[in-house]
Amino acid sequence: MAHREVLAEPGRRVLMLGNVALARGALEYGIGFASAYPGTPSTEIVEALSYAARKLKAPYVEWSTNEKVALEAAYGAALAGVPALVAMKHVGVNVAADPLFSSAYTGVRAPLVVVSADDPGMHSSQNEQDNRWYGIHAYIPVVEPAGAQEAKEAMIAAFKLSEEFNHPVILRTSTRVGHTRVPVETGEIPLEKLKAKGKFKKEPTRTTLIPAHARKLRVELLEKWDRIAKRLSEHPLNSAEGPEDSKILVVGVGLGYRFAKESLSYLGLSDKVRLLKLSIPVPIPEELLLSEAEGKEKIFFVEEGEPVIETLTKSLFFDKEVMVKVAGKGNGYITKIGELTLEKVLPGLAKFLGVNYTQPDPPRVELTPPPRPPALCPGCPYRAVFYALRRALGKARVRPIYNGDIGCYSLGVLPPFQMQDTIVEMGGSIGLANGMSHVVEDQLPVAIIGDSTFFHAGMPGLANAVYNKAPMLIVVLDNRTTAMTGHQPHPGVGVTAMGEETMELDPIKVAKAMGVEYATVTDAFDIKGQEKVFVEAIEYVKKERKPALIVARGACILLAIANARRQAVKYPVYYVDEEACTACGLCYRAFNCPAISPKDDGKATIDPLLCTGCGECVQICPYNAFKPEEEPSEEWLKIMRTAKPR
Amino acid sequence: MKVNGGKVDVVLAGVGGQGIITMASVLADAAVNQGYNAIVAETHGLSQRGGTVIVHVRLGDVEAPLIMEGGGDLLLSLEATETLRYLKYVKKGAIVVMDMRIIRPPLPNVEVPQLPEILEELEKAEVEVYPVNAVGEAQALGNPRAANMYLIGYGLAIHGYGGMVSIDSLKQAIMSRVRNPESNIKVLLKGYNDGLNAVKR
Ligand SMILES: Cc1ncc(C[n+]2csc(CCOP(=O)(O)OP(=O)(O)O)c2C)c(N)n1
Ligand code: SF4
Repeated sequence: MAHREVLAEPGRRVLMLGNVALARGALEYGIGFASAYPGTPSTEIVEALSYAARKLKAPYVEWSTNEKVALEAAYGAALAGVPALVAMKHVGVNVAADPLFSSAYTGVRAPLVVVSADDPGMHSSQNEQDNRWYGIHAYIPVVEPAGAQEAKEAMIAAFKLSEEFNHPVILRTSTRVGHTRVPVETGEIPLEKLKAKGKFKKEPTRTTLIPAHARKLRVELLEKWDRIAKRLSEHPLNSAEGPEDSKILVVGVGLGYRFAKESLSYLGLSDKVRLLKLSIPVPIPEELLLSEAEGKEKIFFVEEGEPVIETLTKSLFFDKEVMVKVAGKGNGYITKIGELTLEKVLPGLAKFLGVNYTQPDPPRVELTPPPRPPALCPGCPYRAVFYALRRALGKARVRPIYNGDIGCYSLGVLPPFQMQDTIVEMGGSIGLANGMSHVVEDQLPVAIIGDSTFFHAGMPGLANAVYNKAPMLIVVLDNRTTAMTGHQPHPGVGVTAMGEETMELDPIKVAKAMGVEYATVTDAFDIKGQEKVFVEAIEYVKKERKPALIVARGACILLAIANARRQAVKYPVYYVDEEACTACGLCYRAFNCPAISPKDDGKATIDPLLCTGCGECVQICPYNAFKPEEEPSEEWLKIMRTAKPR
Repeated sequence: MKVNGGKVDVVLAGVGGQGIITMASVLADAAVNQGYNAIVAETHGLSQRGGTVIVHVRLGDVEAPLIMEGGGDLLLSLEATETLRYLKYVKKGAIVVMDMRIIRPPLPNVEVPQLPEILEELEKAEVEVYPVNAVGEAQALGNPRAANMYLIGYGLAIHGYGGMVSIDSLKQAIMSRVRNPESNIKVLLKGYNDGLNAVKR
C-alpha cells in the first residue's frame, strides 16, 4: 500500500491513518534512517516511509530480517550520528529486547525512537502485552500519543526528547492509535536533514559494554532517569485541564485520555472534574502527579493495557504518604481484558464517582449470525500444500504433529484442514519440533513455516536441527512475500524497501549450506507432484533420523493477480460442468475453496467474482467437473510461480 | 476545525474484501473536506482474509475512536448476516441500511440464516431498516465493487449525516481516493436517489 498522503504538501489538513501520521512526524523531525520488521498494528509506519524514500530519495529505509536486526540497525545508525526510527509490533520487542536494554546503557549520539505497537484485544496477535513495562524495565522513557489525533506531534516530541538526553525513547501505540484515521495538519519536511550523513566517533568507554564500563554507565543511567522524570513533569504533552479545585482527578494516559474525556463529557462532568493527560508517562512525572494530587480525594486512571501508571503512582503516593483513593484497572473498576471502550470506562468511572449511569440498551435480535473467521483466500497456494501434505502423511502411515507458525498458513488451524497443532510465536514451528523430535516415538514432528518467518527466526532452529540430528519434516511455504501483514518483501524475493533490486536468498541453498541433506523445491500449486515428494521426504526422515526440508514454492495469489494486472496478463476463471459434477461435495467440504459453494441440489458452483484462476480445483475433482473459461496462458502460469512484491 | 456541537456515529459492517475501509475513508474525507472532525477506527491484518469486518466512523465533536455499544446512529451493512452481528453498536431507533445479499462463510457445514428470517428479526428490533440491493444496483451500473458507495449515498439521503457531509464533498472524496471514480460516483448518486425515494414513500 502506498500511503501517498504521507507526503501531502505542508499547511494542509489531511485524513491520515495514525501510523502514517507517525511516519509524517518522523519526516518532519528529519530522520535519516528507518527500519522495521512488519507486524500488525505497526506495519504502515515504515510502509509510508518506504513510499516517501522512493519519492524523496531519503531517508534510508529498510525491511530488516527480524526485529532484533531492525533495532540493532537503527541503534547503529543513531550511534553513528543519524536520527533513526525502528518500528515493530509488541511481540517484536520481545525479539529485540537484548539490544534494547543495552541501548539505555550506552545512550545514543543522535536520537533513536523505538515504536512498539501493542495490540490489546488481540485483533491480529498471539497475546496482549503492555510494552510500557519494557520502558520501566530497561530505563527507557515511553511516549504514548493521546490517540491518532496526537500521533504526529508525539513522534516529533519523542525525537526531541531522545535528542535532549542522548537516550533512546520508546513510542508506544496500540491498534486504536495506529489504525485510526484522523485529520492531520501537515508541516514542512526538512529534505536536507533527511539526507544528512553521520560519522561514528570512537568512545569505547561508552559503547563497549564490558563490565567495567557498564558499571559506571549504570550509575549514570539512574541519574539520567531522575533528570528525565523531572523534565516530564514540565513537558507540554503532560498537561491538565478543568477546575483546579475539584476534589476529583481523572488521569488519561495516552489513548486513555480520549476515553476519559469523552466519558466525562457523557456524564456531564467536564467542567466539574480535573483531567490530567499524560502522553509521556514513563518515567512517571512524580512532581506533576504529586502537585495534581494535592487537595484531591479520588483519582481515577484510564489507560490502555495494564494498570502500569496507576500502579507506579500508588507506590509513589505510598512513599510520599499521600492519602487519596486511587482506582482504575488495578482494582477492577475497568477490566484488564481486551481494549478500552466507552462501555468499559463509563460504568467504572461512574461507580467510582458515585454518579448515576445506565448503559444504553441496544436493539436486540434473537438470530445469531454464522461464525465468519478469516480464511485462506480463494486460490491460495497453501490450500494445495495442506491438501497434498495430508494425503502424503496418510500414505506414509505416520502420525504427524503439526507444528505451525505465524502467517497466513496459521489459518490452516480451521476446518477442514485443522493442520496446526501448535502456533506459539515466530520460528516456534522448527523450535518446538526440535524438542518433540527427541522425545516422541510413534509421531512425526512436522514444522510448517512461511518464507518470511524462515528468514526471521527459522534459520537458527534449522541449524540446531541439523546439529542435534532432529528427525523432522520441515515445509517452508515460499509464497514470495510476507503476506499476512500486507505483502512486504523479504530477503528471499530480491527487492528492498527502497524498491531496489537485490540478491534473492534461496531457502534451499541456505538449508543445504547448513547441512540439510534432503532439501528440495516443489511447485506449491501441483498437488500430485508435491504429494510424491512429501512421501519421499517422510521416508527419508524415518530411515535416516535427520531433518528433511521442502520448499513449496508458489506465489500468494493476491500478489500474482497484482503482478498480472501490471503486466496486462489475464487470469482464467473456472466454471463447473453441471453434467460432470456428481454433487460429491469434496471441493466445498474437504478442499473448501471460498469461491466454490454448494447449490441447492448439492452440485458445486463457482463465484466468478471470487475465482482467482489458480486451477487447484481441477486437480482435486475426481470427475473433471472444473473447466477454465479459457485455457490459462503461459504468462499467467509463470506469474503464479514467480510473482514478487514491489 | 468547524464545530457544530453535533456528532454522528456510523457503524460500517461487512466481509473482508468488500471495500469497507475505502468506504470509511470516503465518508470521513467528505466531512474533513467540509472542515469537520472525523475519526475512523479500522483493523488490518488478520481481519481481511474474508473475515467479519466492522469499522467505526465518527463525525463531529468526538474524542474516542470507538462507537459505544448502543450508541451508533446508523449501521451501513454490506452483508445481511453481518447486520445481525453488529446491530448492538447502534441505538434503538437507529437507521439500518443493509444489502440483502448473504455471503456464505467458507466453513464446511455451517448453518446460515435466510433473508426472510433476518428481515423479520430486524422488523422486530426497534430499528428503522432499509433493505437494499446495493451490489445489484452497482453491478447494473457496471461496477459491482462500488456497492459501498451506494450505501453511503443511501445513508446520506435518509439521515443527512448531521450536515457535515454533502453529495459534493463525497464526490470530491471519491475523486481523490478511489479507482474508477466516475463509476463510483454514478453508484453513489443512484444510492442517494433511491434513498430519497425511500424517504418519500
Ligand atoms: C515477532 C513477530 N513479528 C512480527 C509478527 C507479525 N507477523 C505475523 S504473520 C507475519 C508474516 C509472516 O510471513 P510469512 O512467514 O512469509 O507467511 P505468510 O503470511 O506470507 O503466509 C508477520 C510478520 C509476529 N506475529 N511476531
Ligand atoms: S493473502 Fe496470499 S498467502 Fe495469504 S491467504 Fe491469501 S493467497 Fe494465501
